Amino acid sequence: MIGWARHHVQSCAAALRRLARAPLAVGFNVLTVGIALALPLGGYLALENLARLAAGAGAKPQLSVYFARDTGPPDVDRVRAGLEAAAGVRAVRFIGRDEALRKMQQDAGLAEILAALKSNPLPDVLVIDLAAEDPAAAEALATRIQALPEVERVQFDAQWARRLDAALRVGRLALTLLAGLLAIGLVTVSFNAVRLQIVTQRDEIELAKLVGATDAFVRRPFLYQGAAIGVLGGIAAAAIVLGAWLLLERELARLAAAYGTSFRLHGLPPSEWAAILAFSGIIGWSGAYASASKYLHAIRPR
Amino acid sequence: MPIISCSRVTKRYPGGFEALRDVSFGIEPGEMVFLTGHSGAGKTSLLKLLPAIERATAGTVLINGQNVGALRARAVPFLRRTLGLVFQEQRLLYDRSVFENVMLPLLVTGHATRDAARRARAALDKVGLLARERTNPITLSGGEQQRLCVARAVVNRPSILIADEPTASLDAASAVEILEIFGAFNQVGVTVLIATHDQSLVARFASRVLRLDHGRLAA
Ligand SMILES: Nc1ncnc2c1ncn2[C@@H]1O[C@H](COP(=O)(O)OP(=O)(O)O)[C@@H](O)[C@H]1O
Ligand SMILES: [Mg+2]
Repeated sequence: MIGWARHHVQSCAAALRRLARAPLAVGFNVLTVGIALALPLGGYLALENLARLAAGAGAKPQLSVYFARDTGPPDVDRVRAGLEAAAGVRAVRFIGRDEALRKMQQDAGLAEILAALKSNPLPDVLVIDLAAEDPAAAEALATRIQALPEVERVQFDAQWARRLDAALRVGRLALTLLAGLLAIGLVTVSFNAVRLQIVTQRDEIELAKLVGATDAFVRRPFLYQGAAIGVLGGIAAAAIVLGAWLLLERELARLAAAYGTSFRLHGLPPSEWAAILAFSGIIGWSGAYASASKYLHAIRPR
Repeated sequence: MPIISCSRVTKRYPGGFEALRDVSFGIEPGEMVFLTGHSGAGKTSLLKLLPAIERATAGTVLINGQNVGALRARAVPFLRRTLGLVFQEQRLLYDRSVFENVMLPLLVTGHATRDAARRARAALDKVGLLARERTNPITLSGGEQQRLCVARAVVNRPSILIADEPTASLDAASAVEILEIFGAFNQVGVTVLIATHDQSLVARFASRVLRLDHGRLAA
């Protein structure tokens, strides 16, 4: 048991020493893995930030009903009562035109403009929170309300957010497929790296088998080598993405400042970084395992 | 009971060539035996059957009562650990030191590192190479390289030592030196089987001789 554990440590050390002995070849392999992984990783981060943006904008489905300006309070109340009773409506909030104007006047920039106007240009508004997340039902309700003579316009507030949400879902799927394809590609990178290593160490492998090495013993350093290429590639990918990140974040902050808002990119929690490294390690390990199974078996001492 | 026994062993290579035909013999524990015969007689072919590098086409090979020909692939490494092998081609690793070459069999069997280093040095000491442990084997003379091979073969303390033409490329003095080292191991109870085509060397030792002639065992 102790001997077994020790061999794992020795194999790992030997694998790393071998990698260090051929820094250029290893560097290329690691870079290949890194760049290939940086693609889906960067895409994932971008999508997550978009998703966060969409959620902040309120992905909750909402309808805003704008009344015609000559609508009197009794008509508004009647429409409101009707809507409160309608199916799929969770809550109805009334924002009167006077209240809306007061709120706008609190904004220094807008107050000046409003002061120049003779009368209140704003309509009465009903804000409807919908219960269901069913866009078709919301659409149907919006059409029905639009048909009312008192209503000037109905705005489906969550529409763009919902569209973004759908787009994000497609994006995520596409990224998952891309990551899957690249993972297969990266398995072959590790497969070939290990195959080359096996060829160059042929004498040593034969000798080890002659002095009683088991197949598992011979295979182990190569598995570590593959896993190391994978993990180092994962680190390279993280470095590439973080580098691009820092550049982008500065520019985005500047852009947001120009619009008087603040915007921050959100990174990944450490657990997800760890998962990414584990994933890339497993990719490298798998390629090495396939390679070792195929080529080590063929090496028989003569 | 013999520690090595072959009965009616035949080895036919894929091309159809019969390198061994109907070979039977036994070697008792603690014996030292020479396997002689002309070049191409089948000495190497016979020795390769013992660590299951090759398998007999017919007949049985027993080591310590274990049927080598019937061993499953998973069991072969454990058989090989009981044997010390000195190969016709030396198979030294020139990308590491003398010491590391001797360490290899111990790493394979997972011996405790400190104990392994002690054992490796003891083996190097027995063949007179302890002072050279840090050098690269490429810097050793032919005789020294062969002694290094012997050290590597005995470091795991095998009960059987098998050597294929261990003196082939050596001058007479080095050859005698090597054989004396084998003799010393035999003195402490190791069973030794040495293949050589050099009759004059065999004559110096009062050991049993098995002579192969075109794949058959001659009397
Ligand atoms: N792998 C092989 N395939 C075919 N023929 C072989 C093989 N190995 C050895 N031989 C043949 O078997 C005969 C015996 O060879 P070998 O056992 O090496 O003899 P020795 O060691 O006594 O010189 C030779 O004729 C050789 O050509
Ligand atoms: Mg031979």
